[in-house]
Amino acid sequence: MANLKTIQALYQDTCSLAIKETHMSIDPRAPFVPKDAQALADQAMQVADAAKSLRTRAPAGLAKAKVDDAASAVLTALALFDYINNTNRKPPIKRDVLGAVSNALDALGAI
Amino acid sequence: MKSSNQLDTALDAARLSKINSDSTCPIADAHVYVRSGSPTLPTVTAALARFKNQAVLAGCKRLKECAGGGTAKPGHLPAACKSACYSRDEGNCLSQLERSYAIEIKSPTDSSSAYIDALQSEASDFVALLDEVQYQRPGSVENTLAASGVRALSEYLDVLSKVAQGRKSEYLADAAHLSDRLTFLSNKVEEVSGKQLSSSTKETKEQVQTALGAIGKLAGILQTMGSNATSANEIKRLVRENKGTVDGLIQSLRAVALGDSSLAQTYSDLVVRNQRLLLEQKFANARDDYDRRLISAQLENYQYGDDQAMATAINAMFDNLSAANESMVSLVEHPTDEQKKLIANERLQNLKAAVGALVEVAQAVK
Repeated sequence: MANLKTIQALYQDTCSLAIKETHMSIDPRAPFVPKDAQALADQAMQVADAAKSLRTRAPAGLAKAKVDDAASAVLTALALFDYINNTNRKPPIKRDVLGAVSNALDALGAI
Repeated sequence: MKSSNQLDTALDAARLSKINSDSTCPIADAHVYVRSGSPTLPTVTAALARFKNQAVLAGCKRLKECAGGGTAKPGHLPAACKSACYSRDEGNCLSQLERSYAIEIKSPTDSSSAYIDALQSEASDFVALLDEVQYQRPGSVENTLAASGVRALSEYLDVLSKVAQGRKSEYLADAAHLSDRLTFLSNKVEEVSGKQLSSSTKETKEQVQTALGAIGKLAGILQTMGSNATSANEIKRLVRENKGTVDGLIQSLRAVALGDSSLAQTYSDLVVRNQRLLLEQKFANARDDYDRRLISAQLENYQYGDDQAMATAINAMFDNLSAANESMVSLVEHPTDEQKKLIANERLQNLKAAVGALVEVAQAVK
């Protein structure tokens, strides 16, 4: 059984991921380019919807292991966006970033 | 809470953008519903199975058909199901089903707890569907209450800090004002909960009732602050005991408020992005400079937001709440001579009861 604090932290992180990916679609930075904007915006909308559905869930009914998996997947994806936004070094591979968000979406969906 | 209102506004902006994309949307209706793409069949089927008087209406039949409950294969739904909005008849069916649930919950045809639990859970699913598809849906009872939690907490700490500093001329008026506000709020919540179907489960409803009671109690206590006598040590003990609860409440509301704020920003930025792309298309097809100028002038209506500023403001608000709580506790724990006198002051005696009531509010809105 997951506790309230864990769920609230996961909610906040998922919301952060949604806004970061939205920003990336508005203002793409390498490895992303303007032609990726639509794909990023679409995926950001899915992340936002996942966060929204999390907001209405009661922690008591959620399995702790799945919540932990989702939290770790969301943090992995967030770390990639943070890296892109704060580095002048070689960017990660685009497919890996989109894949990390997609993993996070799967993990959120599994809760 | 403020950020939840922002979230509602942003979600509505997204719905409005869908409404504008389809000329068949029945915008004159009191309730406009936008198709969301999420699966609705189980919820719609359950509602229509329960309320058979509705199920026979054409609008309700179409509603079920468009949810995938007709004879058409998935992916081969009638063309009418592809509109951005629910049709006028379908929308009417949704409104009437909401009313049917509200009526049934108010006077259940079967009073067994199993029946009522099943009814509540089904109604919750239905309200979740409405929350997703209805444009400009009134805020829920729980949201009103959560908003009151932050505001009451902030004002309460404000009053207490003035009490602790002995600013009598201010805190008396403030306590009375806050008491009025809380009374008004609990009346308003009661009024709404009688009319509107809420997504709450039975537990949430009980919580709302508890919180209502607690808010009412807090209002009463603030009003009579300064009548009873209690020892300073007793006040100290209570403040110390409740510090964790108040801290916990502040922290949990902060996490939700920050999340709400970035989620609201996400939805509104994505809508802005679509609108700007549409303007760009129009711009590309415009005949001359004059037309292009008219189009580009509209860009100012579609600016991206600044979520950092919002997050900073929210953090500042919660930092203030934490600081107020800290300084309150520290004053009560380590008073100076002057403050000792104040703590012993009869005006502060009811702090005990007020803190107790606050804790009830805190637990209920968590």
